[in-house]
Amino acid sequence: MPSKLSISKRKEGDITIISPQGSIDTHTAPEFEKVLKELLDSGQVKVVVDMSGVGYISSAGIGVFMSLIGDFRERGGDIKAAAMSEKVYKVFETVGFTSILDIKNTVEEAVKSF
Amino acid sequence: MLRKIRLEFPADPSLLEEIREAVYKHALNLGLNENRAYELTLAVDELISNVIEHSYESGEGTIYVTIDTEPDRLKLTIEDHGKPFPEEVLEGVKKKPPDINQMVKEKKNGGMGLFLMLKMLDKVEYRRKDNKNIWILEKHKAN
Repeated sequence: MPSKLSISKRKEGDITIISPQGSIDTHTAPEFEKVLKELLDSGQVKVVVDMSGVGYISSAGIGVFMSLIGDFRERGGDIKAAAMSEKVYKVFETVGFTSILDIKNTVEEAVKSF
Repeated sequence: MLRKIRLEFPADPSLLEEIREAVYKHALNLGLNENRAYELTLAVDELISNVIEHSYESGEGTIYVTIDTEPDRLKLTIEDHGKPFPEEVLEGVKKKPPDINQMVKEKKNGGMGLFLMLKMLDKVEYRRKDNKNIWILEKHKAN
């Protein structure tokens, strides 16, 4: 079965919550990147990524966060992540990205932290 | 019991999920616990993604995966007929892990795959032989 990813979006005030469902790997990372770039281009720079539906991430997925987080911060926003599974968190931790990306236990907590 | 499994995949990134499922299932059946099977699967995904993108330059090709089981470890051999892998890149990552802060500053979207692969495995070897890239990956069954 091909790698699959679907991404839904919702707003809470000026914060956009995106919820990817599936795996973020070399095949699907460009879709995830496209959604984040569209938010950036439309000035929606406060973003929470609800990771509860992401069962798997590889370095290609981390690379999307890594290449774009600076752009969001430069425009007065941020990308925060929430509700990661232990396995997904481990990938972020192994590459040292947990010291850069603000990761919260829940989406609510991430929204409040803006 | 010693067993050997051979798998063959086209170099197509849309099949990565299928490749991961196959490797994970065999790793569990051959004696790795869930956590170690997951780590091995992530490492294989990183390597195969690298082969598709750099060795076959996102063109056509075949990737061969052989899984050997030994009493205390699984040994995977991953082969392709693509461009030679620059060995100094692997040696460089082994000596000095990528600087994530610098990569964020430079807005890089890649460059961590090999590092992640190394962290997930107990041993990684590369050689070029008979116009093939040959990777040997080892994952112990216990600490």
